[in-house]
Amino acid sequence: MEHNGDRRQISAEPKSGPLAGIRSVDCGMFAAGPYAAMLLSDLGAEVIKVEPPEGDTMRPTEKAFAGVQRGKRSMALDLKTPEGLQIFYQLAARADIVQHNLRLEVAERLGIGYGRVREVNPRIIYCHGTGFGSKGPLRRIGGFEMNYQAHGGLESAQAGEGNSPVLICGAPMDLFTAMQAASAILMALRWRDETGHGQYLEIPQFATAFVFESQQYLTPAGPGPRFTLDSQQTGLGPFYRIYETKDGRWICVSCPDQQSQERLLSALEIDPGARSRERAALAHEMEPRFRTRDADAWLQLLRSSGVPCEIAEETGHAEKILNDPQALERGRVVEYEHPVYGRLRQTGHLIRFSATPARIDRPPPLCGEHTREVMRELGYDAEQIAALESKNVIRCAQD
Amino acid sequence: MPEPTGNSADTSHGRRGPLEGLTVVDLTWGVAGPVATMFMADYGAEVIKVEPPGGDPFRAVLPAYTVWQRGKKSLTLNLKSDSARSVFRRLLARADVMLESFAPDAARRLGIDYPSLAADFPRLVYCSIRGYGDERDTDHPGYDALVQAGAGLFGEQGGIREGPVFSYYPLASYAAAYLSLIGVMSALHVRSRSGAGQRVETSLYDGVLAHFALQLSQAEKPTASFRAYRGSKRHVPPSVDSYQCSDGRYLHIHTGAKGAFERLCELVGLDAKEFPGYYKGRHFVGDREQGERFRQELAVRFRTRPMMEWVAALRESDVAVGPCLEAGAGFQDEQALAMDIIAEVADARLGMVRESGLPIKYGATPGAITGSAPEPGADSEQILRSLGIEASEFSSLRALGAV
Repeated sequence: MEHNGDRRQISAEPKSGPLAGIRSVDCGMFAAGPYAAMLLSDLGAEVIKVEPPEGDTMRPTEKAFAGVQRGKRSMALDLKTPEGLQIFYQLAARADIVQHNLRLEVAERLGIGYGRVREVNPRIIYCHGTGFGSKGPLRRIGGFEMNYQAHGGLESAQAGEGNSPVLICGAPMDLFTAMQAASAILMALRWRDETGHGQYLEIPQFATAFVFESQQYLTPAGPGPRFTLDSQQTGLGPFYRIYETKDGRWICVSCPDQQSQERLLSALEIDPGARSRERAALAHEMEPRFRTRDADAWLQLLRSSGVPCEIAEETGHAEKILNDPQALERGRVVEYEHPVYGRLRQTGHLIRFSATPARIDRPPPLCGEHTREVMRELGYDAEQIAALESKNVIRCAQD
Repeated sequence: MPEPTGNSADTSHGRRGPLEGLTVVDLTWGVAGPVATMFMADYGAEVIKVEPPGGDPFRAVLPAYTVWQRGKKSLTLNLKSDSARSVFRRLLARADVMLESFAPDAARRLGIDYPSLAADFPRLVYCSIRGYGDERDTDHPGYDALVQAGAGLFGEQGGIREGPVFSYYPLASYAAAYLSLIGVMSALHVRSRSGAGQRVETSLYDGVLAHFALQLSQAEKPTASFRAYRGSKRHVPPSVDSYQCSDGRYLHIHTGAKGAFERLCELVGLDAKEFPGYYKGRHFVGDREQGERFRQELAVRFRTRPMMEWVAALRESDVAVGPCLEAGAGFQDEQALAMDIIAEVADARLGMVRESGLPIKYGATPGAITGSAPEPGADSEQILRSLGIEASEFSSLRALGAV
């Protein structure tokens, strides 16, 4: 109880940040939709996560769920009931943004399609996350991260020459689609700030694979120049890759110009004139040189020679960023109290604003944790809330 | 071969974007900045790429500039010259947004860092894209591969061998492109209310952190499930893995949707109930050995038919699947063309270029690709004229090497 009291106090403070005063109703599930809403929340928007009484399907994957849900309030609401739908309309009426990634026909069937929402709120920015898109032969087909990576050719590109497909780690189709959606919503907000008009926008997740492939193109004479990852998955050529060193650690070099390439060869005691030799042969000559010193020694030598380089850290290194005191101090890593997990540490502010810094003020919510609070804001009294709860229209988390 | 239908190069201004009327001065190079301003140009902003007289040096290194610089105007300015800097300030006077990706002291030396501009351009949204966004920027080159390597992204990348694996895509930069876009748009929203601009900063390093959103959480009292999740180098469960088919090609399935595991089993002739240690009552459970048996059974079955046949059958059975297509095959993809996420852009040198189109589908303000990538300085004269600089002054600026 004491704990709840604390948290009410926190939530009573006004949100800060560039999007303070903007409200979003987020019906998204899994990762792509929710991360978009979390990015807005991180910037100060007030986000209400509307989830079915049984909870977002992603909840059992607890860490991933926590990574895309902080800062939101959870309202557990059965949209299949007429009363639940009315409550949703009340939320939409006072919101600036509605976002979801339900299938189009499901959203229409539930009564939360754009046409209906616009009736209750003509200024709404309505963001619909779809899979392969709302048109075309695959419009009814659902998909997940790996399906888009495969279909877009990303797994083949990441495989390296001659290898079987390799999935890019970290679910980029989900997360980059979310960043796409947040960008798209904010561009629509700019249009609304200028003209007063809201609108419908669709974010097909499949399109994100093509953003990745935007570095390629096709001309009438054939494909444009394409970098390829080598069969050992070390890089895109002798000057843009990782090399294994004597102690088994790897070092990454990135030499985009003639000068830095020649410096690298000199440091390896190879004739700089070899720069233009055939790639594979040159790499073959460079590899054993790197095995003559430890990674740290190479780092020092190459840096002092003006070669752009860095240690390619092993798996598990990224986790250490969470323990970097400087990252914490700068707010790139944040830490706060979670009712189940205790102190929770995550990546935090990834954009810094000189005039309107944002604050992360709430952990990922429990399912229905804020149902009662939000219902009260909508004007429902305790009796009405209890009645709706007993009819399973809403679910309130246990106090 | 299907043809793209919509958003191909369109100079008719019939498809205005949500950023119409916005003027962006773009001093970035590399990947993150150019991709961010590509989106701005696609969605209606006037983007003026300011580059040194010889052209942005990355023009020679990145063939992708053909795509990433589309729809922009190019103004060449030698910012080391006082007269060019005064032209630049006149340009800023009519700009809403400026983006830069200089090393911190380079912008200062040129007198175009934020403190040097804020007082004279109080409405300007000034966006810096750095390698790291901290003191490392002064002595660590902020190249994409180096940032990914140092932040441990290569370490998490899966592959055919142990040790770090190079990321084929410039993931840190792509993410930073989005973060800068989000930052700029948020600051414009603030400005629409307060009238005041501000400085926005992000970095490729922040982009890596965004890429890790699902896996970088640490709890004081983690549950078993919380502890178990790793979004990276890990055992890929058979229910979400890729499989080779009879023609040697691969497909990648995902059975996370309700009932999908049962539907998959039925399609390939397996009994879902035979693997209770792996899948029970709609949930995947931990028995590795049974999971591996399931993987082998599945692999044998997938090898009996060609890949596209399986893909069609899996879709018929409502099991999520992706054909593992060759990189680059997407430019002919029927679905991508139907969704207009492939565009055709007329390029003076290359002819009609097929490339990634517009990924966001706006109902009211669709946006359009308004042209191909400009040659260096292609629009210098026109831009200077719009700033009220007469032809004679333009010639003398040119003679001075300022433009």
